[in-house]
Amino acid sequence: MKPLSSLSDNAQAVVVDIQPGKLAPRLVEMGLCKGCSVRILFRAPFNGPLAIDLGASVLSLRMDEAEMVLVEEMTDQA
Amino acid sequence: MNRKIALIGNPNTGKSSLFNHLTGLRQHVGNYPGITLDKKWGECKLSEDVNTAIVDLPGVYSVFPRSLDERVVIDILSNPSHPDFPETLVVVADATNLERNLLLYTQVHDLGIPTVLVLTMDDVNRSHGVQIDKQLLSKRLGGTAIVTVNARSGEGVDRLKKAILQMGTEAPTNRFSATSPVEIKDNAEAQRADAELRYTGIRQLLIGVLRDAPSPKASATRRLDALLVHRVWGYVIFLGVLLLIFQFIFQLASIPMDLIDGLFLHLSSWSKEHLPPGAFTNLIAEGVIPGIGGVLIFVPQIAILFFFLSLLEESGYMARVVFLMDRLVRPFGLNGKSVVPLMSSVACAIPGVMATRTIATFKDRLITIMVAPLMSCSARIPVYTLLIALVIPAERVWGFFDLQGLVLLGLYALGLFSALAVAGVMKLFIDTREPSFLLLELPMYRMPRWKEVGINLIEKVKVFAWDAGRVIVAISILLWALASYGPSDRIELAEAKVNSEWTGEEAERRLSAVRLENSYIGILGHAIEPVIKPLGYDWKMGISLITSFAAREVFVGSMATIYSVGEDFEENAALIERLRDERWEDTGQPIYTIASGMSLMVFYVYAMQCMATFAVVRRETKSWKWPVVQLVYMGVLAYLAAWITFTIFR
Repeated sequence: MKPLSSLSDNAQAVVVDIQPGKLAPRLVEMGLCKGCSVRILFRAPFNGPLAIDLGASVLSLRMDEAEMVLVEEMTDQA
Repeated sequence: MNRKIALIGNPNTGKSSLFNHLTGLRQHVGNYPGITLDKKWGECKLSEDVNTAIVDLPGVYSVFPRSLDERVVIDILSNPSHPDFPETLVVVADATNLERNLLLYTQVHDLGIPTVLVLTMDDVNRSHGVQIDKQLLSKRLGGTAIVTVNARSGEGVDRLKKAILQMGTEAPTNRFSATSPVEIKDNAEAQRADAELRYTGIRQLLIGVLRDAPSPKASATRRLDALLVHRVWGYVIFLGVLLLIFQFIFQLASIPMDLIDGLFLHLSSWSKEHLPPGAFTNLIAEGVIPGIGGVLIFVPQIAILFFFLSLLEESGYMARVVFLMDRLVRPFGLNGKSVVPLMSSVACAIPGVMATRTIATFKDRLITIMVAPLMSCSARIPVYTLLIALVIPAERVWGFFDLQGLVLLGLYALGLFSALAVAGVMKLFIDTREPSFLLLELPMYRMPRWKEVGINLIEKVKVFAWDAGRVIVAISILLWALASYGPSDRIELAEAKVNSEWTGEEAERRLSAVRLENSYIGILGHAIEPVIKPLGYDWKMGISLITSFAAREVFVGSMATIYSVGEDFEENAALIERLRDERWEDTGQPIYTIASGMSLMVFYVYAMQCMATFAVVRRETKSWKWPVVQLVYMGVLAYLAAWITFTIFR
């Protein structure tokens, strides 16, 4: 389990948990919820925001926002 | 009007297009009390004899407010006695992302309002081989009417109208969650748990509804993104897009602007000739007509800029700009969404301030509005050009840099860095208990809908001309009155003196000068001389500083009037010559030196010498507080910076 912010580009992962706070319900509403599969598409330079593929939509969030999301990386076998 | 309808839906679902299809140009913009968000409503003919009022609620992902402005959604929908409470709610949902879009649907359904569900972008689904079983979906949602609409072409809008007409007024009886949204509107954790519960239910009910669902193909968008958000090329392309827009603004806007300018000058002199002479005619010819002209002169710039901004927004590129720029401007308390408004302010702060509406966080938006007028706008160019030609020698630095050009560049850079620095400071002072989030959707690229672009442009021009225009006309009439009238017979006495000493054209020019000098503004200019003398200015500059609150470029015309030289178009040669000879009465030293000239230019970098910006900031923040704060802080900065400049160069 690791924060979404440290996931490597293009690796598939599943959202395991979102840390409580004001951001959490917003993320869930925008489709980023427990059990969703996510993939980092690209990042802005200088530790800027990252874009994640949720399948039906693409979201962009800042690094500190992505730290709130815990994911489990999926291995190729899984 | 015998029915009330509201439109609600996620951002990027085509909700606004649908609103435009339903209402055409019968749209109105008004206020919700207490918030800065505009209320948009329109009229729609559902059938021959049924008219309705349709309110376009803001694009949201849930009924819970995620910004101060969004709380209007739950306020209206949870309160049946609210004047905007709808009898029928139209929920617009993107058919390519049903799971997420239905979350909002189940929330408003549970508020107990009869709803029609509109599915947009179903054509995209079909082109990917995805089919939605609408009958099954309707049944699982509890018998809700479902209409597919192509928001782009308007196909299906008639079916929607019929469905609305057939709607009953009885509240739905089934619930998707045991918790009513009203109970948990202030509890973030409960909202999240409730949303997760709703998603589980939605996934269940979608089983069998979505058929042949391969993962959506977005390869064209991916390929474009590889270039447009590239860590090098992304920035290069954005810079190119900006340059292109500025080229268009400066090339295209000047033509209608000159026309408007000429037309109103003509109108003014025509009405002076044809109306009976007197105070009323002067008010019309010199106060009202130039005032209205002063509003309309901004319309070409606003229209052209918003044409391009709507294109960027509609195509999906704007979200990428925000993505690229966010990190670069964050240290200054700005948001990625601040970048385009600030860049627009280099043309003119007015559309710049109006473009801040996309910034959802009030604090970020306010900071952007507060610093936007520090960006060097095109109205400063005539002032800078005059003063640079006057006091900066046409020399070369290190053999190839033109000194005058360097000074101009320096003034632009000073404006930009000051805007960033002030934003950084304001970040610490403005506290709104509203955390700043980026969190935005990067929609798929698509062709702009020209009708959207057009309607958006018309709305922006209408809001400016009417809401801000009234304040601008009022201020310009006030400025005119102060510049045309003086206490008792002061002006008449001075005129008589000129008439006894001069004749012909020279007398005319001198008459204008003594009229201004003896008016209330002239007296005010004299009165502030002790205050502005430490900056290197005399009372004549004081007068021009006051008159140019109308607009910065008025400075040049005022100087020409005071020094009784005709305004010419050959780079103000006569005025410059006249100013070079100007000396202080007590010391005999020249008034216009490098020190006082630089000080004056720095003053214009900072001072909020623009009543139109003042009026627009009031319109956009819906309060007098923020434009006044802005006027004061920029004035104080201008004074201090000009004083420092004068002290250094003296």
